[in-house]
Amino acid sequence: MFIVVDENDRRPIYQQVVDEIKALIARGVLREGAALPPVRQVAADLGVNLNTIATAYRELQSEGLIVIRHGAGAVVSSRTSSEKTDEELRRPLRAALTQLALAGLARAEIMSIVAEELRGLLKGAR
Amino acid sequence: MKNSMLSVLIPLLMTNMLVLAVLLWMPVIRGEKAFFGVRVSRETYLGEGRRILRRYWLCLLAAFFALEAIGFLTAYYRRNFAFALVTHFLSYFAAFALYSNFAREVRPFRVVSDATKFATPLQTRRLADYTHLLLEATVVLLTIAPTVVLIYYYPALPERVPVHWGINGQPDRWARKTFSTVFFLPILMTYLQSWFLLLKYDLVHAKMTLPAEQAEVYLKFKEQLIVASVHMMDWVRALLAIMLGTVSMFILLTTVEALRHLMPIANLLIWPCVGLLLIVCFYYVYRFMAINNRLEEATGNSNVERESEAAKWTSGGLFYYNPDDPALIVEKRDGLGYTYNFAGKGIRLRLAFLAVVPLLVLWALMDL
Repeated sequence: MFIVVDENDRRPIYQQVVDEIKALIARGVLREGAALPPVRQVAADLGVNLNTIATAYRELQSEGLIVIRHGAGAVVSSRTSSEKTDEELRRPLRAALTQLALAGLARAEIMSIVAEELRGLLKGAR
Repeated sequence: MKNSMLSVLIPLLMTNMLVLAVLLWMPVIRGEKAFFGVRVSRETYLGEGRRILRRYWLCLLAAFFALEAIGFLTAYYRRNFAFALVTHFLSYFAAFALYSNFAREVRPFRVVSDATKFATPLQTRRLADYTHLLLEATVVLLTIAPTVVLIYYYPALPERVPVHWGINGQPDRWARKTFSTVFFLPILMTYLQSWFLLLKYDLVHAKMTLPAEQAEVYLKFKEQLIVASVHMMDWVRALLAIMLGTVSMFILLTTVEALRHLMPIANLLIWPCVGLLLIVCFYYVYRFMAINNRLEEATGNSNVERESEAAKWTSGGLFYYNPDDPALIVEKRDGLGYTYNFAGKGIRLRLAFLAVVPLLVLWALMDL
């Protein structure tokens, strides 16, 4: 169970960490109650600033996926991200689908890509 | 007088020769993998490297023999071996300065990785996972017991107490009974054990640089390296507890009549421990090298370094000072062993432990 950051990725590092951890939660690899390593360990291993990882953890906390208890560290609290309306959830999907449509892909091709990505994402999920 | 002078100066000369041999060998122990602690290319090692090495040898030999000669001659004619001691330690400083100076000339070879993707396991590294309760309990007991026993027996001890014992366990030096002559060893032991526990804690939390492509392989071998270091620490801590615990009881065993029959047994216990300690050290050095070689075979490069971090090593890979690195303990750049980030959080406490060593020695010498 690893998370990976890429220095050449256009997303900021904290966002990459958030996305990686979210993917692990979504797939059920990180279950409810699973402890995340301390900010210092993650930051040192990845060679990034402490604040970067702290920001990522705060972001995950604000989405209700983890709770950070002082002294006890961060723990996965839920497998569903809270406080997002239907519209908020659909917006990034719509943007991604627009990209695919603009790339000239046919409806069937888009459907198969979506199905494939979803399978990959939920692989091993309960 | 001359004879007793020689009996001090000759062992001093011999230790210095041994140290000199190690210092001469040090830059090339691991060949081009760690030439002056820096990984270099084969061509650099055989060409430019040879020239640097020859100059280093020449300077080192000159510095050592000059300082030694000055020290010994002064000591011999002034009838005071303190002069030889001073130059003895001066030569260590000179050697260190030379080593770091020549190390600066060495051009590193591709230590910096071109990887941009790095991984970290989502698993917390905890001291508890590397702790055997029985071992810890034994170490704590052996560390605290001598102090308690000596406090109990303190009033019963005679006014003159032995402070040094020969190989056969017979006391050969005595001193006035004071707090330091009786309690020096238990305090030294408590101090050493707390320091080693702190070192073990740091080792467990060492930073791991894992390139994303082979993260599992790197993690597997790097964990093996940490386990090996922790096991070595545990052996050293246990053996030290037994040895120092026993030696701090010598004072009782030689002066209290009822306990005197235990002295030969206690004395006999020391030597197997010394032997075992040496075996443990050699075995784990071999083990580190073996794991390191296997990692290199599996990945092609045993230690991966980021460009931003490569610039933070000074004195040819001896010291690492990087305020931007959150890690306190990092792998050495030649992949073998660990070192502190001297800008890390908590480094002051570690340096304070180091600074106590000379204070303890001074304290011990004051009452002798």
